[in-house]
Amino acid sequence: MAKKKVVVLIKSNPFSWKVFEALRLAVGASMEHKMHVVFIKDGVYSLTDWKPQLIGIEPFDKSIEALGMMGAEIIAEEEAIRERGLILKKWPAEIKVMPKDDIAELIKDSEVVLSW
Amino acid sequence: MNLLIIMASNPYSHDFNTVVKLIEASLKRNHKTKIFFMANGEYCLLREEIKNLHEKGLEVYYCAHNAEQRKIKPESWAESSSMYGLAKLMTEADKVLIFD
Repeated sequence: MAKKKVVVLIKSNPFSWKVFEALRLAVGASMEHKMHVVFIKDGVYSLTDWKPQLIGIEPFDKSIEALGMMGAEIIAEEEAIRERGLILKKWPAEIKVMPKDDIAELIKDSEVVLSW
Repeated sequence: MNLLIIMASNPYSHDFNTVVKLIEASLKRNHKTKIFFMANGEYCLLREEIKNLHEKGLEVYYCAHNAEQRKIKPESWAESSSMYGLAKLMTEADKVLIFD
C-alpha cells in the first residue's frame, strides 16, 4: 500500500497535552507516510523556548528530533509568529518558516489532514 | 468505503455524540468503519455506546500507552494498538477523520 501525504496541523496552544499527543502521533505515522507537521495560529507558541515541565507536561524535544531524523517536514506559519512577536527556540530539527499561502497549498495537496 | 475515525476527545464532549451518530450512519451504509482511541479519547472505551457499536460491526482500536497512563483496562473486544498501528490503519483507510 502506498505512502500517503499526511499533514498534522497544530493550531491549539501547547499548554495542554494536545501538542504532545499530536507529535507522538506524527512520529508514529512518519514511519509509514510522508509527514508534514504544521504549526499555525496559537500552535506556534509550542516552538518558543517555554518550559512545559513547569505545568507538568513532558518536553517534546525528543519528538521533534525523531521527526527530523525520519525526514518529516516541520513547518511554522510566518504570519502567526510575526503577529505574536515570537522568537523560535533552536530545535534539534530544522523548522521551516512558511507563509500562510504556501501552507494552504500544502494542505490542499495532502491526502490526510489531522488537526489538533 | 474504508472509514477511519481518530478519537482523542473525551466522552462527555459534543464530539462523542457526533462520533456515535457518524458511526451508526456509516455502518448502516455498510462502510468498513474503524475507530482508534487515543489521549483522553481512551475514556470513551468505558461507554456502553461503543460496545454496542462494536457489536454492530465497528472495529475498535486503542493506544495501549495512553490507556496505561490513565489506568484504563479496556475489555477484550477492543484491540490494543500503538501510534505505529495507527499509521498502518491510515494506510488502509480511504477517509480519515480526527476529533481532538
